[in-house]
Amino acid sequence: MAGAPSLALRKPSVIPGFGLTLGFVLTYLGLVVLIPLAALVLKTAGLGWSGFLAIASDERTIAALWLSFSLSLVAAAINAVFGLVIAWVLVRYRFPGRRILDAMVDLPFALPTAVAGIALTALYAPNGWVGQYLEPLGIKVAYTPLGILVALVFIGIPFVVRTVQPVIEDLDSEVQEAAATLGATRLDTLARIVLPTLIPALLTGFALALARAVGEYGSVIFIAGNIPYVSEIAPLLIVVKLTEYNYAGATAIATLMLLISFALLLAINLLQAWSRRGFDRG
Amino acid sequence: MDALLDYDVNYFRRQETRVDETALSGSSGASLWGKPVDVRVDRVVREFGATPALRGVSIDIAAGELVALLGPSGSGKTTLLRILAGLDAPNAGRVTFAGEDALRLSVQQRHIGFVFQSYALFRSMKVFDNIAFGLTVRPLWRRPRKSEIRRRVMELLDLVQLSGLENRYPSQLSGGQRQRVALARALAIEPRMLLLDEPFGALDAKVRRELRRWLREIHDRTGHTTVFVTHDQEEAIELADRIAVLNNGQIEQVGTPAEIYDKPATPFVASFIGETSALPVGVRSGKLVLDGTPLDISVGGATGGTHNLVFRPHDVTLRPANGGGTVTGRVMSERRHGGSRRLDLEVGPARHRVEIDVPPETENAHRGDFVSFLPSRWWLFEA
Repeated sequence: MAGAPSLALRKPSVIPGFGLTLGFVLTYLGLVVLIPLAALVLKTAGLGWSGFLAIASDERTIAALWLSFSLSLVAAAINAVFGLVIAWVLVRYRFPGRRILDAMVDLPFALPTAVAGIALTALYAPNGWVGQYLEPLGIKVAYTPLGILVALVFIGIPFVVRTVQPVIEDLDSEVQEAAATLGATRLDTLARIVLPTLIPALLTGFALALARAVGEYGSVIFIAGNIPYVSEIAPLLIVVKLTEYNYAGATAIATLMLLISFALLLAINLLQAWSRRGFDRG
Repeated sequence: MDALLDYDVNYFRRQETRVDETALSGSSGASLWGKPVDVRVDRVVREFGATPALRGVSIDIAAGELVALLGPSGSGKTTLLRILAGLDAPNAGRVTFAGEDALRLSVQQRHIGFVFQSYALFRSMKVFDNIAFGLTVRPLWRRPRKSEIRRRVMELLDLVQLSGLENRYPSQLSGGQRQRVALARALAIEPRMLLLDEPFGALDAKVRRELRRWLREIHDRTGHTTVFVTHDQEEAIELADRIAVLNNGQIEQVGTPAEIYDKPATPFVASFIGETSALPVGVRSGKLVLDGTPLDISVGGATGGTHNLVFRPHDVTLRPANGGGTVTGRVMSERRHGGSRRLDLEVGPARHRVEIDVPPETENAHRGDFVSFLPSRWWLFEA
């Protein structure tokens, strides 16, 4: 094998197992990810171009996709801001109950999403603990897009906290001290030194929260009310098509979601690569 | 180096006048900007929990002086530097800059250029923005115009010999280059004082020597009061006007490099600065006694008890073996040491180990031979 020019992919390295692990990765990804996705696209192809366009341009489809992606983006943005604050507090300050709070962050991961949905609905319903105080103010949460947003924020928060937390832990205090000796106020230091360092991790958390929110089903359907054109999310529309035995229609919407998600995640990745400039070496 | 020597000497003089024009911002430190200040540290105590890091340290530093804080790790030298910068606060004691209480001032108000051992450059910023940082964070009414900032950054890049690298990221620079960016960044704010924490600690020996000489030149040119921390005695001796030797949270001695080297005040200073050998001796009727044998060394004031006879390996004279009154030892090993040969001796029945330097061509001074000598310059410390 030594010196074989055919192995152009491989740089000389002392780390063993390149062939084995790469083979495993490709097989695994193929079986678990690529083949199901290919089947999805193949099924959609059976619909024909015009059939696909008909479903893609259907107003109900567009409304559901718009609702899913816009609310997911908003929820991920909210999570990015408050997840950052939570992570900051958990890392930077020592207070009683910190560890309990730290453990609680993971609860949305562990809770069955249906339970989360039912719990949130019970809270925000017009006669619920929180809903009864919002009702007189004219704010309706349950059975509206606002309710969906609440559910999506709930299930997305751990992603941001857990991706940003280790980076905050690794922040170099000398760099912040250097900024202070140069006359920077705390706010300057935060905005110009700390945040740029956190942005790559923050974007990762944002992307994960976004991806999770786009695919979320269980918690949303309980609180959404599922009114077509108003509070019907795309994953639910897929289930609706399935119950109508419209498999081609369901896969068409799924393929659309796949394409949009891929475009969004790719854009975030590019943004991340750009924000990481200067961090590559040393 | 030629480019550096040709550098416009009036640059910093011009800067000073410029500072005076822009500095009148109402902050309490403003009146002092631009000119190097003198520093007085008075009985400063700093404790971390129950562990004292500084136990009442006092030192006066004159304006424009280059002072080294020298000591082993854990001696409190970095703590003292951080207190001067305002990055740490003492539990007791006073610090004044030009007579003004410095402890009342925040880090930002102290207006001090601080160079960290790790350089602490801003990784997400290019070299240019790193150096410009101290100017661009100023409040709007004191911030120089963009063109002015650019001009100053370029001048500083020229001063630290990094012209043309302004668009690199710190990760694309070598250690020595990063160090110089850190220094340029600190100089950009026209500091009242320059503090450097182990500035050359992470660099290899050759770069280190170059930067050392270069820092001295920059200091002589800019005239900043400069304090740097080091554990490298050679660095302190070569670079500093005065050295403060710290040990265990206290200043053992302050003096010029020559004073510290030639007249160490304590055994610690003697052993920490330069190389020393020591022998336990007694005093009997005005003469030193080693293992019961009187030596040919007379002492005035010292009386009874055990003392340590401390001398440098090169401050010895060889004596004929049969003369008596000398220190005699058997050569255990020998090696080349600079321009001379260093012998590792085992002295007397108690087998004291000492090192002495002899001319390389000395005969009968090889492994197994007996060599007799007397220190030509020595100090006596109570054991």
